Formats: sequence, structure tokens, C-alpha cells
Amino acid sequence: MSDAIRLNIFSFTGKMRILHLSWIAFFISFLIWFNHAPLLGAIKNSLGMTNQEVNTLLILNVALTIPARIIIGMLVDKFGPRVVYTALLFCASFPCFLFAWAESFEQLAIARFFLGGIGAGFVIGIRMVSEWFPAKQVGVAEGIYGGWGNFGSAAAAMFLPALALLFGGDNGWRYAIGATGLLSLFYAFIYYNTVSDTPKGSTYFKPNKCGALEVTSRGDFFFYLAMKLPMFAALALLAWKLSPAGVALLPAQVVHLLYLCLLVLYGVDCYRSWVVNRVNLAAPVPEIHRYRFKQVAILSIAYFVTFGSELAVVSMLPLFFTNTFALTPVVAGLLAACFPVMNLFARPGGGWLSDRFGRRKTLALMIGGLAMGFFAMGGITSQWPVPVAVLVTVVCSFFVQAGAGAVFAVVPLVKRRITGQVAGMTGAYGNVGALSFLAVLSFVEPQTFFMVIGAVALLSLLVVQFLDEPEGSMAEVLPDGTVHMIEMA
Amino acid sequence: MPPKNIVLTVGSCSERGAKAENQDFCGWLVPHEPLLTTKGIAVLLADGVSGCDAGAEASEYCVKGFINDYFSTPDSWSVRLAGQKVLAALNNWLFGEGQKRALSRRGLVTTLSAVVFKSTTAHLFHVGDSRVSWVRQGRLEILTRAHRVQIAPDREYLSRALGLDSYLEIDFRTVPLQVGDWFVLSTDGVSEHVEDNVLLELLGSRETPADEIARQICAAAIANHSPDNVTCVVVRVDALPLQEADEVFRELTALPFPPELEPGMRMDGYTIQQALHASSTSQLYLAWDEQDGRRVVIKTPSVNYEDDPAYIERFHHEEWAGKRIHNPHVLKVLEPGHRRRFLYVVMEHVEGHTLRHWIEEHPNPEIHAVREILDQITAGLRAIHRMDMLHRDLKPENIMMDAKGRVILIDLGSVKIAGIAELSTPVQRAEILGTLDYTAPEYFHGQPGSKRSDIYSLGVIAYEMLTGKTPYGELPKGGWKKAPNLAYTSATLHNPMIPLWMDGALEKATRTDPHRRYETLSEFLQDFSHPNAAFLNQLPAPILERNPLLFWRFFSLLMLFCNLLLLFLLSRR
Repeated sequence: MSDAIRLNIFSFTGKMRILHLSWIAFFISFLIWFNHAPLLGAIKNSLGMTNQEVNTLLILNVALTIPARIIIGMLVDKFGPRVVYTALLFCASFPCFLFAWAESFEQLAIARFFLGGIGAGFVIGIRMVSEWFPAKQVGVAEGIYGGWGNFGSAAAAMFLPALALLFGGDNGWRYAIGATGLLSLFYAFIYYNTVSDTPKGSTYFKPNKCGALEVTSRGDFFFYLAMKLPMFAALALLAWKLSPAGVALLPAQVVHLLYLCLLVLYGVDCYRSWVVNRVNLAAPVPEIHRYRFKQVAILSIAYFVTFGSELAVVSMLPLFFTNTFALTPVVAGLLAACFPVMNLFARPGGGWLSDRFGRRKTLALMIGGLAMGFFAMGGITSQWPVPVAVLVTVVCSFFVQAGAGAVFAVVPLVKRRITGQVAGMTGAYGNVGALSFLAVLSFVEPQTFFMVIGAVALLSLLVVQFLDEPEGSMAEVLPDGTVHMIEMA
Repeated sequence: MPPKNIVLTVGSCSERGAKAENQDFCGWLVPHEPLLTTKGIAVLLADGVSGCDAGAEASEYCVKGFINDYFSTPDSWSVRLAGQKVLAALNNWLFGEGQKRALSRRGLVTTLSAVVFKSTTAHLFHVGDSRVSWVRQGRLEILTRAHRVQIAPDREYLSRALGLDSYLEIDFRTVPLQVGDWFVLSTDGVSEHVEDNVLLELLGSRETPADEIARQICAAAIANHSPDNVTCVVVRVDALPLQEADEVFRELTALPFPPELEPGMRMDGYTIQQALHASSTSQLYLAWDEQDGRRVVIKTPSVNYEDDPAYIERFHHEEWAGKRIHNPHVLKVLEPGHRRRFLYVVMEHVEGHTLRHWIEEHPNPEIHAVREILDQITAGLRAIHRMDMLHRDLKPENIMMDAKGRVILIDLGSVKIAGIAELSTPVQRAEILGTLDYTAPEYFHGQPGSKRSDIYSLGVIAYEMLTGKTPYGELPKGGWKKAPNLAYTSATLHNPMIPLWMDGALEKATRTDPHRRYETLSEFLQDFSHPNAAFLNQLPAPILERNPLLFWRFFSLLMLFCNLLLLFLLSRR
């Protein structure tokens, strides 16, 4: 009977079946999200794009994710994870086909922009897993879901160049990308027919309040509004990038209109936050509901640099290896895959370290290591032996992903009741990070890009020092097995 | 430090007045905790009907009886239910006793006005022509109506009183309290001879002791030539249980959640043997009590709800309710024998499997087996209802069957306790706590549940035992709010062995409108076990009713075919 409690990865029944089916869905969504990265060389050649245009594609890929996360979160509340994941996988296949059959930079750009939406798939599965797993296992289950799913980008880097070669010719990349679209379309139906939103007979719960985050003091409210700004600023940066001042994809009038839209959206967003928090601001919030928004802000910044740098680096690494060491796309893809491949254990490992050695210490250590790692990567030149470059990449990626894991080990401890909203805000900052870093990449050489990430990491290391160690009472087990209480200040 | 419970000042005066004998009686009781919280304070006034010989006896018996019996009712009962039951019993005794005393002209008859002050609400029970007035900030309102009939300008009779008839109708109402409110209970000898403004003036003086105020009111009535006994009770609300949110939450969270327990761990005198079950809301462990070697099941809350006061409160309620229900068909909650340092519930250990398992094992069950299980579920549910509680989360997963075939309801985690629901609290309680397929539709429309809501769940379970399906199919995620117009699918469609009359009983138990459902468990059980003629006389339902989807599909297909045919014929020319 105690099997009910153990987590058996090789089982394919009950909640484990849901976990497997969900991480595969996430895996496919990541595969699609980064299916362009290892093929960029071929795409660039076959359509004759400039470097500037290639970088724009990379940015576009992470732009829509930011607003999409919010919308997907609301849809999950309304329709449940099963339907939303199915719809997302289904819908993503069409821009995927458009991308595969694109004849110009404009078409590629539009397709990539819409493909950015699939990056929001993460939250759907997290919701699914939390419905199915008891508290004790939910951390490990979400680690498996996130880690193995993220592996999708590694799989893309490893297999798509080979697949493109298999189809052969200048259009090999088109078939490879089209194949991922077909896979997604196909899996959408499988997912719909094999999972259910909650275990049979589980208690019905009111969906979490969706939309804006709840804050519990007046100061925190303004802090929250300020923390929203970078999200809109990142989108504004993208709009500027598309303006005549950048790649001139959009005429100046349209860009100005976009700026105005963003401004209005920010206003609407602030108003919605006010509506949600109206009651909390009018009267003091009972102590049990209080928390400090500072914690959310710090975690967001830490995720900005950890997950943000991961997304950015995953997009550009294959092309970087190809160009720096004059490798074939297949080899470069395989080597670049060692960056995301670390997800398999580095991300859960970060959570484990955090549980064991203290939240702030672990997070600081990981971000410190990440900074060093990127400074080292900034030094990579064509003179370096390839194995050394790969080793530096692997070490750096360990810190990046363990750092992301350490952030999400703290997220549920900020305030259990609003974990979903805290995770949403933090996750969005990961995308803002990716967008910002990729924007930097469009101005500078890759080496400088790595250095910039390192410098930002050092800054966030400072910020992390202000993180409060989550407090509370902890139980201790004595050697004879007796459970005792220890109060933590 | 504000007082944690209600504080009243009560004063009274009862005088014989112009009559030879005082047949009025008044009394009140401020009990000790925990009764003060669960039952409140009772203040009563009775006027023995002057026409009878034993008026004084009746009024005294009534007041004393109410105080005795009311505070002995189960603490899970609402004030209303407790008052009703006690008054009905008192009435029966008075009426019966009056009949026995052949010599008396009209037996033992009395009016009664009772006010129970519980939490932040006053609950009024009233029968007869006494009066309860309520004064708030200098404004007086009469809360009761005199139950009298006038047959001539100078001849009036009591139309309703205790002991008058075996059948009794009682007026009941509630009033929310504020500090500073006055309540004045008075017999007709006072109420008809003291003007409102006099009353207000007397109540207005802050310094006068309550007893003195009552005496002055009676004196005013006598001065006004009242021909009757004069009695009044004045009650001032001095303090209400101030529910400081922080304090309530601190009390709720006083016991920390236990950590994840592993076999071999010891906690508060229990040794954990193994984990039985874990879900996203709680964990169950098998453990043994080191003192007496008993095997028990320990349920611990899930850390997911560490900061959810409503969840923690429900966890406390589960234990509270479980300890009060003693029935072989409801799981026993045990009193932990040791000082408790964590939040958990200790329960009896039942070896067996759930009804869900049984349903899966018996896709084609014998109808008599289903009936036997249903009988036992009903017995458990009835024990819960008798305590004025609602289960609210009946489902096959929450019903266990042990090796001997005993059926036991196991999860009281969603129980609603009427007596506790009356207490004011800053905790925001959720109304929907059940499971999508088994939760009655009215919950989804924001209505409070009733016993009929539990009957709905029972009906769905019976349906599922017989057919393996639920009567309304798979509900959308939003439940009944999203799909208010689902139609009942006849159980005979899934299982042709089911008699029509039994399907009729299932249909009536699971109607979406609670008022059209069975009112009591026994009615449902009766119809489920014996053919009810009302269901038999129906003609077999037309296909449009039995399976509307099939009908309309077929109909649409037919129309499409006709159209195609028409198109074909037209295009030939």
C-alpha cells in the first residue's frame, strides 16, 4: 500500500502517467520553441538574411511569451490544463508550418513571433502536476516535468541538424521544422485523449484568483507596479528593434502606435492590480496573510539572470559554435546541446541544494558561479581547443540551471496561497531576461554578450543578499525517530 | 484585552400586581465555557394563563425545563433546531399533563418568550401574548406579535400558547447584535400598560442597575392600573465576542503542521508504521499507539494549506464533528491520549477498501447488494444529519467497506456544523467543497446546502453503483454553473435490469432543483426498495426524453438527407 507514496519513475499508471504525458507535452513545446536555433545557419543561407535579421528572429521568439504566460494562466483557470495544453500544441503547429515554408524574412518573423506563444506552456503542466501530486512529491514531480521538458531544446539542438541533413538539400531545414510541427499536432490529440485534469473523485476547488498578484501593504503595491515596468519596457525595446531605427520591419507609425498600446496596457494592468488589491490597501491585512513583496522582486531578478540567460544562450549557442570553430551544423548542434542537457539533473539539483544548505546561500553561490562561468565563456576564441570550450559551457550551464532550480525552490515558500501568482511573475521575468539579453546580442559580439550576462549576474548577486531566509517552524527528527519542533527565528 | 465572549447585563422584576397569585415566571442562565460559546445565553419569560388553575406551575416548569434541556442538546445543533426540539417536548408534556388532570378547566397553558444570545446574534422563540422589545440607539422595535384572537370588543383569547394543543407553532427570528442594544421581555401586564416613551426613558439612564430598571418598569405598569401580574426582564448587551482576525488566525495556527512522516518515526506517543495515502490536500498514515498498542490512522494536513485559515478550520471541524457522532457507519475519531504538539486527527483503523473499488469490481451488481450498501450509507448519513451537520462531500472514495461488509463513511473534512456556522468568524469559508460529479447543483449557484444536497450525492452514488455511470454524464470543469441545463439520463439505458420505479426514485433523488428532490432519507430509501405507484403509472418515456441527443442527431441527419435528396431531385431537371 505504501506504493501510493513512493514515486516510481518507471510506472506508467495513475499520477505517474499524467506526469510522463505532461513532460512529453512540455518537451515537444520546447522542441518547437527552439527548433530554429540549431538550423539558423542553414536558414540564414537559404534566405540570405543579415546577422541583424537573425538576431531579430531570436528576440521575436521570446517576445510573445511574456503576455502569453498571463493569458495562458487565465485560460488554465477557466478551462483546465488538459484543454489548454491540447489547444496550445495544436495552435503552435500552424506557425511552425508557416515558418518551415517561409519565403522571406517577413514571413519568418511573423511565424517566430507567434511561436513565442508556445513558450508559455510551462505553467499549464505545473498546474496539472500540482493537482495530481501530494505536497511531498510535488517538488520532485515538477522538477522532472520542468527538467525533462526543458530537455526539448537540447533534443532540438542534437537531432534537428541531423534530421535536416537526412532530408538533404537546401530545404532540409524546412522538413526538419515541419516535422516538429507535425509531432506537435499529433501529440495534441494524444494528450487530449489520455489525461484528465484531476484525479477521479478529487475534491473540487475554486480556481485560484487569476490576474494580478495580491500584495499586502501600500508600499508593496507601488513596488509591484514598478516591477511591472520592465516587462513592458522589454516589449517596447522589441518594438524599437523592429522600427526603421532597427531592422525596419515595421514602419515608424506602426511602432509609435505600438508604444502607445504598451502604455495603455500598462495603465490597464495597473488598474487591474488596483482592483484586486483594493481591499488590502484600504485596511491592514491580517498577519497570517501578510508577506513581503521584496521576496518576489528578488526572486524575479534572480530568475531574470538564470532562466533568462539560459533561453538566450540556448538560442544562439549552435550558431556561435558553428561560426567560432568552423564546425558543421550537426557537430555544433551536438556540442551546443550540452548546455540545455544539464537540465536533466542540474535544475532538480539546485532545488535539492537549496533545501539542504539554505535558500539564500545556495542562490548566491549559483549566481556567483554563473557570473564566473559567463566571464569564462566570454573568453572563448577560435584559438581555444573545442573540448575546453565545451567544458566551460557545461560548467556554466550547471550554475545557470541549478540557479533556476534554486529560485523555484523558494517560490512556494513566499506565500503558499498565492504560489501560482508568484511563480507567474517570476517566470515572466525569466522571459524578460531572455528578451533583454538577446537584444544586447543584437548590438554586440557574442563574447561581449557573455560578459554582459556575467556583469548583470554580479549585480543580481548583490540583490540576492537582501533575500530573507523563509521563516517558520521546522520539525526535527531525533536519532530515535521522535519528531520534535525547533522554532526558527 | 477585549472579552472573548458575549457579556450581558440582565435585570428582572416579577410582581403579583393586582392579582392574588403571581403566575408569571422568568429566568436566565449564563453558562460556563464551552457552553457559553456553543449554546450562548438563554433569557426566558413565561406567563401562565390566568384562566387555568395551574398557570404558575406551567410557566415555572416551562422556563426551568427550557434552560435544563436547551443546554443539554448536542453542541453541533443550531439554536433554531435545539429550541424547536426543546419547545416541542415541553409542549407535549404540558398538553399531556393538562389532559390528565381531569379536574382542571383548561390545563397547563403558558406563553413563552425566549431569547438566546449566541455569538453576535439574538435568536427569538415566541409563542403567546408576551412581548420582546428591542431598543437600539433610542429607537424601539417590537420583535414579537401577540397571538390573540378577538371575538368581541372586550373578549380576547390566546390563539397560540404552550400546552394549548398537541400541535405547536413557534415564531422564530434572529436579530444581529450591537453593543449597547437593550432587549426587554415583558408579560402583557407590563407591555400593555407602559408607554414606549416611558420605557425608553427608564432604559436611558446609564447608572441605574438593571434590576432597578426592571423594578421601575413594573412599578410604572402598576401605577398605570395594570390588572395583571407584572413581570419584565431587561437585557443589555455590554460586549460581543470581538473576533480580531489576527487572534483567530493565531489560535487556528497554534499547532504546527507535522512534517512528512516516515515509517518508524514517533510523534506524540504514536509510532508511524506506514503511509497509506497521500493527496494534494492531506496524508494518511497507519500508526500504533505506544500506550495501548492500538492501531490507528493519523491524518495530517498538507503543507499546501499552511496559510489557508479556512482549510485549517475545516481540519479542526473534522475532528470536532467526528468525536460527536457515535454510529457504526461513521468513522470514529479518537481522542489523542497524549499532549498534542502538531495538528492531526487520530481515527480508528478500518481495514477494507473503498466503495469506488467495489464499483469497479462489480460492474453488474445484484440490486439487493446495492440496496444493502445504500441502507448502511443512509444509516451513517442519518447519524450525521441528526447532529444538525451536513456531510457535503459524499462520494465512493469517502465510503469504506470492511471485511465483514460494514459500510463506513470516512471523511468528514467538508462537514458543515450548523451550531458552529452560527458563530461569527473572520475566516472566509468556502461553500463548494465537494467533488464535481457528486456535489449538488445548488452549491454551484451559491446557495447554502441542505440535507437534500446530501441526498443528491447519495442518489448519484446509488446510480453509479447500479450503472457505473453518473446520471448527468461528465460535467464540464465549471460544474453546474457552466452547464445548468443537463438532462437526467435514465438508469435503465445503462442497465436494463433496473426496474422503472427504481429509476424513478433515482431521478427524484438527483433532481437539479432541491425542492423537487426527496426531503428525507427515509422517503428515498422507501422508494428505492418498494415500487412506488407514482413512478409505475408513467408510460415509457419517448425517445426525445430518454436520449435527447440521439433524437436530435438522428433528426438532423434525416433533415440533411432530405435536403440532399431535394437538391439531387431539383438538379436533375
